[in-house]
Amino acid sequence: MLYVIKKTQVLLVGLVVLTAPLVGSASPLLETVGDTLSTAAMQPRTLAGGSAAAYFNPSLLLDSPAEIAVGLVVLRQSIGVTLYGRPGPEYAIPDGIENGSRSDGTGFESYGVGTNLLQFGKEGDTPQASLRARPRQGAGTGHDTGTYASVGMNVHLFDGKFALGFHGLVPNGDFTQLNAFYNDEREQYFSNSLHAELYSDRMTAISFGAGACLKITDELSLGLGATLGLQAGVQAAAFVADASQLGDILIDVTAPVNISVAPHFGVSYHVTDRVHLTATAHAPKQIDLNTNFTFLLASGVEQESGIQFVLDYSPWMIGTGGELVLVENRKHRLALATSLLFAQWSTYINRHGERPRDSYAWADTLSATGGVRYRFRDLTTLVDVGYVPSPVPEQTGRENYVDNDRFTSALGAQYEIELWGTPMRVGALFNALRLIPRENHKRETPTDPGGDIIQPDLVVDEVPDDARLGRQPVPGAAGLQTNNPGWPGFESRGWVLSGSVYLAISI
Amino acid sequence: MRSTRNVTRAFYAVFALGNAASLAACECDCDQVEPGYYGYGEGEGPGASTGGRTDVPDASTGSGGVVGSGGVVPDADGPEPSCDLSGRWLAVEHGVTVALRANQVVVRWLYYEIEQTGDSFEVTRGLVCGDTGYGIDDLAVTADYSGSWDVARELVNVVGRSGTSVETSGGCDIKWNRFYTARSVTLPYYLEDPSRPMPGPDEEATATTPGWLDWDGDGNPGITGVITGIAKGKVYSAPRRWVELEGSVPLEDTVGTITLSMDWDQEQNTLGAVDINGEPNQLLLSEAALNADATLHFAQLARLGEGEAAGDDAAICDAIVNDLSIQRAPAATAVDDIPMP
Repeated sequence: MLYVIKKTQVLLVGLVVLTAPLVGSASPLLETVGDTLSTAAMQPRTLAGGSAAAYFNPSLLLDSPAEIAVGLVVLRQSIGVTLYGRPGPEYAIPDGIENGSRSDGTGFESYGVGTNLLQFGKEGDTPQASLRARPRQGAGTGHDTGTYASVGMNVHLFDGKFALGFHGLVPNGDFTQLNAFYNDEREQYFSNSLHAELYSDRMTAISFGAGACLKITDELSLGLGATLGLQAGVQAAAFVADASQLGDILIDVTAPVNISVAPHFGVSYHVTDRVHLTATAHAPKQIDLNTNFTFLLASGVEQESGIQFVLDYSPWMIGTGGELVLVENRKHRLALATSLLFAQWSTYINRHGERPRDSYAWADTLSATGGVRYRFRDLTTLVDVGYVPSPVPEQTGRENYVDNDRFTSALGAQYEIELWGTPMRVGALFNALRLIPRENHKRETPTDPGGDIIQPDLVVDEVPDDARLGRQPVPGAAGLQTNNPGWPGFESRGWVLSGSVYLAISI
Repeated sequence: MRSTRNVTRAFYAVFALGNAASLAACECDCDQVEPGYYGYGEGEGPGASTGGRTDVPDASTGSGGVVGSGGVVPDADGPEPSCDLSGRWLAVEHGVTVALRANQVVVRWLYYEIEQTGDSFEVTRGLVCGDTGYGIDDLAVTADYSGSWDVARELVNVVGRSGTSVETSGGCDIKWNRFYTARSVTLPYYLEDPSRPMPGPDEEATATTPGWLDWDGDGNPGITGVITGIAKGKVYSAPRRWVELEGSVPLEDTVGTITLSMDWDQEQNTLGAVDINGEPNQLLLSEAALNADATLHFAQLARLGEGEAAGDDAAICDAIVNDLSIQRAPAATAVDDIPMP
């Protein structure tokens, strides 16, 4: 039977969805930990569970119980990066090269800091005269433990024909952390380390989703949801009276913040009482942070610079899945579920608003998850296993995107109780993501007879062969000299573990 | 039902093993760097290099010779053109250095009295009248060392500087041999052997040990350069510098302005720097290197007539710096842009 809802009601619902005071954005965190408030666990796009459907598949909101849910999540990242040893001192950038130039007087493509200076720093009598050491991989960000509060609500309206829900995961402590880093030799100036591209600060991303579900027939439901992206701009105008007194510069700041909506869609179809199919589509999401700097010197010279940061980028994701109920009666329920997720990672934009170089373009991925749900009386248990290929090709060139194929698994249990006449659910979930060890070996950087790099996608020679310091050739400039922290190669592997407990109260 | 229960137990076991393994493995998933080499070892690298200088041939001629010619048209009543350089000369040495990617023109004014015998000549009297550095990029600074000019004129010795001037079919092949000068240090100790390291900030000269001196008497080590421009402050230094000049010039230039390519280098030997508040400042200690473009380094010499730059040493230098060099060595004294000879 087709339920008919008046146009005005549809319009009203649409306005509610689009104007509700929701705060949210891309949710790589939710994509990693899945549903932490129900037994949908790692398959929330396929299985009805709870409020997480608002983000993953809004069309499942009516199949999920109407409830308010809260939970606590602990997430442990342990992603290790091993940098291969540098084979000899001839690959080092000498100190004092900052005034070097090519034989024709032009500058280098980039100026590396002396490798020794970078590695060991410099002691000085004053803070200004000293330099903090930046040893290779001395500031990795792959190890962190965080706790989160998960909240959600699912409300059924119009005699069970319509539902509204929201779902969120709020980091305790820092609400969200933005840690932009370069993926090539430019990172030497900052952490001089490699970082896991799809984890690290992305595990503190603002994670809220809202959705609405409309039952079209008894078998078919449609869902529409949204996450909100932030677009923040920082325009800093600085006046520099004395470049030797950078601590005394004068700055004005203008910081507009705008909001953009990224929609997601879902459809749920019960083929039979025992077969259930779903499909979802999530639009790309990101946080934009545009920074612009204007420096006015006392001499009247004004220079402007700007950079766009893109944080927590998530690409188009198209999912499909199915559930097959093998056994279902008052005492038992046994079901198999599987989910496929296509992610268009080829459109990836990194934290500095750059795309991976064409010859090292990321790939789209198709990941699969399968699992079992078994209920015995009031106790439901689950297990999920899955495989998620990395979109990142082997990093044999200039870039150092750290990512691994991963094997995922989830285990959980939920118990239904009734207190004071109110049905409740309590549960616990454990997820383990194994980042399968991966090696990356850099290719050699060929140059033409003039010493110019002919393949800029490969590791940059930061001291060209014809380098001059003053009018003297730089000794040892022949061949490759680089501070690229990922050279001559690196290996990554690790675990991302999460555990959660939750309580859901029916409403 | 029993089979279902067994399957569930098996899944639990696998999962528990996985989690246990992951917890154990977390201890190993640390960031690591495998053994290897870092930067240059002690005594290696260009910063430690002391010799092996390679002369850069003049790109404009391909010969290491003429940078250009020009200047004043010979006076019909003046001296005849000759490769004999005997006489009084003003000289302006012009170089370009780069510090933090900003260019700075370095100019030094000199006065020479030359005696030539055969093809060889030697300076019999000379004065270093002054030097300065002008920032010519937006982010460059200007360094004013005029506070030490008087004492430098008195103490820096250029007598004995020598070279050759050989007549050729088209003019003269002129070469000034390498000559070292140093300021605000014990002399001639640091010139007798130019490989001797210059004194550091803690090596003030005493009656018995060589070191830096406070030539300008301002209570600070070395001589003081007043920094203006994008950065402001003072730099204290005791520098050492060497210069070679070479070129083939038309005969008529010997009565006008001779332009020679210049090969040179300097040890800035900065002893300290302070900002306008007198606080130590690291930025002002930034090292400078010569601009790699050989055409930017040259010297112009102009023969002085009788009555020009006359008087005592101070008067001679005043005339050269403030008047004659601007007229007779315009390319070398231009400071508002990188001049091309």
